[in-house]
Amino acid sequence: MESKKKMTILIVIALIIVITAISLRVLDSNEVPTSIEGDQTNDGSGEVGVTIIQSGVEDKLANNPEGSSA
Amino acid sequence: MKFSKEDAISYVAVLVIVVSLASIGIQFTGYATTDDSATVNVTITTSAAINFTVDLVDFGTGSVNNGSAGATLATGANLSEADGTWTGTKSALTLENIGNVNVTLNLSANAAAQAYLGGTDPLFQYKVTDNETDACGGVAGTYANFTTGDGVLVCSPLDFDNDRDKINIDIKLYIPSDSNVGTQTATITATGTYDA
Repeated sequence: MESKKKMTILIVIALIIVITAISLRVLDSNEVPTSIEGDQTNDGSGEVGVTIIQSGVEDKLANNPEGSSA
Repeated sequence: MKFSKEDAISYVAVLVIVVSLASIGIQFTGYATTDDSATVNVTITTSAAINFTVDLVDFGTGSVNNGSAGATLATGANLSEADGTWTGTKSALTLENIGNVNVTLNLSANAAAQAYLGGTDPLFQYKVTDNETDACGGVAGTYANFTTGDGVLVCSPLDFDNDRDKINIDIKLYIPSDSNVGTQTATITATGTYDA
């Protein structure tokens, strides 16, 4: 009976230590997978604006002194 | 000496404990790390993208001076010397390659000079220059008329390197005295293509 109890304790300890060893192996992973997807957006347009107003009517008489006409 | 079944199992358990402890010890001490390796994977896909960082040239409101056949407005120039009443100095459009691949660049507009401004012999032109040295391959650096459709090849290539991926697009208009009146707006389209 005594030897059976010892055996059970040994098996339990062995299982705990095996699980610990395997866990440490799995956690010791240095692989860092990283993926960068490209951005395909494309803003390829600009604008040119100008506002054109009509020229004022030129007053040619203003530069023409009275009686100077031939 | 006779081994019982319990004894045999106990010896096996002790052996498992010893091996497991040895494995844990190797990991903590680094004793067996000479062939340990790490891997970093990175996948970068090709991205072709261009962006107008300055996307508007607004010359404002004005008229052609009386007696002049027309007014010439250009970015980077003093507009008060344009034979018109426009004032100030406007900046050129700026285009940047924001992708990670060189592109071949074409420029076009939705309207050429006659449709855009009207009148007698109007002009609607662009001039491409490097904003950053060596950005634009085969850069002409002189004014040329805008065209519609597929446009005109202006850079072959426009580089993607951050130190040389930016160009200026200067705009010049000649507004004849008999041009259209009102607000006139043209859209300029830059098209970048690359070999996949």
